[in-house]
Amino acid sequence: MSFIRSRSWLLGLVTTLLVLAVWQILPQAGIIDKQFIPPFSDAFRHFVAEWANNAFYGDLGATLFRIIGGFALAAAIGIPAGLAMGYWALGYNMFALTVDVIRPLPTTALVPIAALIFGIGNGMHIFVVVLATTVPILLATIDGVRNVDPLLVDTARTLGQTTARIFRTVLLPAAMPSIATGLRVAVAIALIVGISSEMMLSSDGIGHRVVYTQRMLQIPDLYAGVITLAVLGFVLNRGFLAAENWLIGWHRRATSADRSGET
Amino acid sequence: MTKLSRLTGLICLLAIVGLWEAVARLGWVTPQQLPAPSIIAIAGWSDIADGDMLGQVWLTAQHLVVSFTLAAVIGVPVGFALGRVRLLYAALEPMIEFLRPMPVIAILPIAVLILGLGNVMIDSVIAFGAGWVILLHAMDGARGIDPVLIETGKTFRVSRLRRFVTIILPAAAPQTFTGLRVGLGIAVIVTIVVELVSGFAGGLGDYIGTLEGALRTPEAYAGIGLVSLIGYALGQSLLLLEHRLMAWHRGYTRQ
Repeated sequence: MSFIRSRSWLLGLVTTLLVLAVWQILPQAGIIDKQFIPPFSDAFRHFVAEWANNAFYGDLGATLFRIIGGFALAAAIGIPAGLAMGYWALGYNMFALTVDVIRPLPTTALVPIAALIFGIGNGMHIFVVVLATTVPILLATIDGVRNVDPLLVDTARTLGQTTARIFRTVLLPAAMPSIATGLRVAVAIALIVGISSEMMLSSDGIGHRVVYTQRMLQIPDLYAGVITLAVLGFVLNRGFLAAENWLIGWHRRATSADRSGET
Repeated sequence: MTKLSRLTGLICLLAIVGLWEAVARLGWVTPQQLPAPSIIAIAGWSDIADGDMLGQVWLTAQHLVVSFTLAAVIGVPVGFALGRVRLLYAALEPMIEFLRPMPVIAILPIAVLILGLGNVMIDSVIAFGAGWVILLHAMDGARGIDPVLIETGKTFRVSRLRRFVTIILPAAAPQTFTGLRVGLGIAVIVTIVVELVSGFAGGLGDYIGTLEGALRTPEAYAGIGLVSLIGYALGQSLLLLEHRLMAWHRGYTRQ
């Protein structure tokens, strides 16, 4: 087993290169039609070439703005609302049913309606992303607050702390791990929904780019765009994990219970 | 939840719907943007009575059920294999970890290119979208099992097959079910996109797109409500299954 562990990165590297080699050779040898799957080198060359293209930066910027903006807005709504609904039973009783009704909404179906309300553009994409990501953040926050040891809150209260201070110094930090989980789910949803929205109705953004290149049969560009999307997901996720570690690293160090992403 | 708190929630929901009705009736929003709920209900009802919408609902439900089943049947075993066979995971680790957070919908244009616009493409894309999440959760569940459990089984000379059925399967089940639930949510989102983008294949996604193009917004809203209902019903049946199969787990971890 120790042999496998010490060599596992090597094995991973070899397999990855093997897969890329197959991707390269099969289309080149004509076993797979280049019109459907171009060789890896073609796709990769177009992927690299994108970064020298100004229009590409416009698309990338638009997509990032919509996804990150929508996500941030959803967090700004979901976390405070979740704190309130988690803390005050009345708030929970009032809105839990409404949230339950909204939850299964297929947000992508609202894209054309959002276009009617906001016009095709940033507002519409951000609206759809906010709609899709607020509920998971809200639910995770409620869950986090409800699982805070009541003793902590009572202690703070006994020591004469104001409610505002209890929220800031007790509830928010204690609920943070659960909130972080909700935010991580939300990042993934924001990506899917944001890209989908661009694929459905848009004149710019990476989502539009891949659909457009497919229709124009610019096949290597299509593959370059899909690679870009994969890289985008990877980078956003890494960025989020770094931010999470910075925010709640103390929690992991204190409990050392969460081992995910460490191995 | 007590009776009183249920009542509070219901009153609030009704108040919100009432407010929406008022806002729409007072003309603060155009009916193209947000029609009154009563108008949506009437439009939806007449569309259902026509039988027009039910055919589309049936198509969408079919896509959802077929693709989700496919995703589960492939995603869970492959995830388990990746989680338990060290060599396999080590070989594929770089690719899996790189593609883990990919927006699954990215596959759509490639699928359209290779498979065309038919049902095969639609079902494949949905199955891929749901299957990737299901696979990752099953894999993480199977990988994260406490080694002591498995070593104990080995010490007691429990056969490989029995170890799998009595130790690995139950230990990985909670996370696998989480994966199935998340996967279902993604399947619903993806289904609408694929149906709408592929255009003439029918289904509620296509229907909603056409209605909105024709500015028949109330019908479109009614369609969205129906998709929610389907998603909700599927989610509830999954939850029911989970409760049945995992009754032991709730007592065990006091959740």
